[in-house]
Amino acid sequence: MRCLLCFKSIEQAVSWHTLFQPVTAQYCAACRPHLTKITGAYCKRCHRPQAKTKTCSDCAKRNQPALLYNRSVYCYDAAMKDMLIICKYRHHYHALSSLTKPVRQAFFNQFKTVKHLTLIPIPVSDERMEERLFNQATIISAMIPRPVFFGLKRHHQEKQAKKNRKQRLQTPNPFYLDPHLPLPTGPVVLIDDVYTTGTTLHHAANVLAEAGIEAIYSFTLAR
Amino acid sequence: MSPVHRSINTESKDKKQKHPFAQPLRYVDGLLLDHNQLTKRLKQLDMTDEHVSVTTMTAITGRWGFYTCQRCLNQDPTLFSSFPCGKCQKTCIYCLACLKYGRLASCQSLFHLRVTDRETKPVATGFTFTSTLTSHQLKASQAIIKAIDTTKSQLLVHAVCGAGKTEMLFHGIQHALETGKRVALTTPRQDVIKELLPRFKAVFTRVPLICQYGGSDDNRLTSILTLCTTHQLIRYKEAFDVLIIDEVDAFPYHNDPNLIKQSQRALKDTGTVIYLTATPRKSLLKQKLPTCFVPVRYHGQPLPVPQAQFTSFKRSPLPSNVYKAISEQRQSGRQLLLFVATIKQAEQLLPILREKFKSLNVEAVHATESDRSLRVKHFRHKAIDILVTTTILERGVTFPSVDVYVLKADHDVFDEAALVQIAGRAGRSKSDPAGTVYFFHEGYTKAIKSAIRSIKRMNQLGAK
Ligand SMILES: [Zn+2]
Ligand SMILES: [Zn+2]
Ligand SMILES: [Zn+2]
Repeated sequence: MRCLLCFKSIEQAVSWHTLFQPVTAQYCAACRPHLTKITGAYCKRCHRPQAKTKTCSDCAKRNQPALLYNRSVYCYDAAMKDMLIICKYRHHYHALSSLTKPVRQAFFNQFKTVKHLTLIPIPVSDERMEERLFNQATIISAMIPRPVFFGLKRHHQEKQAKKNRKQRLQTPNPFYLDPHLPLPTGPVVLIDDVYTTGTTLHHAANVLAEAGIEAIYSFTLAR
Repeated sequence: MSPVHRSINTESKDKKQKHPFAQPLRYVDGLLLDHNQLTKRLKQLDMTDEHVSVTTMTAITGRWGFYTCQRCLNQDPTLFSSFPCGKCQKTCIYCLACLKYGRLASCQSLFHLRVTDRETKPVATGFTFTSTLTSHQLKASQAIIKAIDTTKSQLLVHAVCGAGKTEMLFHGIQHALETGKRVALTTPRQDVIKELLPRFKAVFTRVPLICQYGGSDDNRLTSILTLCTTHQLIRYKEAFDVLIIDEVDAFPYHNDPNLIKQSQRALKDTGTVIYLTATPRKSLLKQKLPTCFVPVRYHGQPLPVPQAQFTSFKRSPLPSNVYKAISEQRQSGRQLLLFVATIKQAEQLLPILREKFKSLNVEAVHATESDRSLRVKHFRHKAIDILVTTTILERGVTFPSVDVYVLKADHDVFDEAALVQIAGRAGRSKSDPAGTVYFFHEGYTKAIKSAIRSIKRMNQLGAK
């Protein structure tokens, strides 16, 4: 058993349980990230943590958005940023593996009222896939035992992280639907690693809404 | 002043200057690159040149759970992970052992750059080293030159701490460079490499020497003479004619079996490897390499023999006999290095020392300390009287006139090699070749016993 980040062995008592059951992924004491779950008041639409539970100023500016609301698990703080860097830029596929349980729990809590939903991970472009070999949103959607729709595609654009807020808000919609795949019939939940300005998720939601999907939500690891 | 001791101030000044002659293309020979690095390199290279070639290799070889990472040579099955690859639409493998250098997956490639036409015309090195060597140093220096002239040779230089290892190397390296051979000197610790750099620059004034370590500006460069930390050798395959491995007994080697394999890979199959150590481990001695022995320090005086003293640390981080020893030590006029086993111990000890010795400047350094090199510099300039340190100052760093006390010498971190190295910090200069070394312990361990015995043995050999 090794730490997911530094790969040093973690001492662990061997029992019948650990022998026959796949052990849930773990970190050593030095590497354990101190993630903060979102608790307390938040914006009802984008799940931004704030003093009062009401619609935040950014969401108030969006007129009748296709995306009904977003829900997230963790605050997008320094610890979460570090983790996502290891996953997305150091290309460590299993960096997020230990979060499966809390992510699944948070998802079922937030979306227990939504029946027959389909997950849609936010795709990466082919160019990015060539380099990264995986899509971090697919890692998160794979943590949740619900049907997944892979028909949403993405044109290649410059890295989001390199753009400032204004440039991000102005970028053209990079998403399109694969015409060969049948669209999901019920409500859909877009899955992504992080909701920052929300531009990416709203772009994706617009494409789905135009295609006729009525109930569109989103769920991200961090907000 | 000791020839071993020199100031490190020149480093920042030199950084801005351009190398005296441009980077010759031929030294990219032997670079091992991933796809991104290759793309960047290809912009500098003329691929129509028939002497330049790129060999493509599968990054991870093997199957059914028995894999080898061709970059870091890791073969530990628990240090590979599988993942559903989005490009291949199947399960691919990636290596965890070298993930920090960028993920390498089984569906990716590694590229080996070769430049075949290597001229071997003499290189003007601007060699300035004129100091006379002691008879022992001279013998070692000649053995090194001989090893360099012999293809496929190995040499173990077993020299006591303070023997003047670096001085023994200069003539050998000069000889190798002159004959067009490419040389790398590696040592496990960044601090040591940074200390060596100005000394090498002063001796090889016309060589475009580069210094590679995690975070160095030189990491993209290649040269005929490379100083680097051991971990940097991961980027080379069959690149060097002469590889000098300093402190081969030190921590990372016996901790990471891949490092030795990587070092061997960095050497050409005709090359020479020279191991330097003051405390060879059994595994190295077992190989029965041709050995050159330097039992005497450059100043000719014997090594200070440590005195072991039973001391209980249960009641206080600073027991009364340690306090007494420090008070007496203050009369000697030397500075004091206090080695402790853990960062926690250092943190407990520091305020007590400051309280008891109000008139003195007491500081601590340890691995997590960001301004550690600054503290070391202050200690060297005698602005600090007592320096509390963990084993990070165990080797490589030299202070002219210090006494050395080890608190909790029975702790696991103090193995035989570490204790010999620590004791070797004392009595380094010609003007003050003596020094007091105490091992305060809560149990007379095998390591303490063997360390004292091996120091005594060296002194006997040197007296002959
Ligand atoms: Zn760890
Ligand atoms: Zn909002
Ligand atoms: Zn590897």
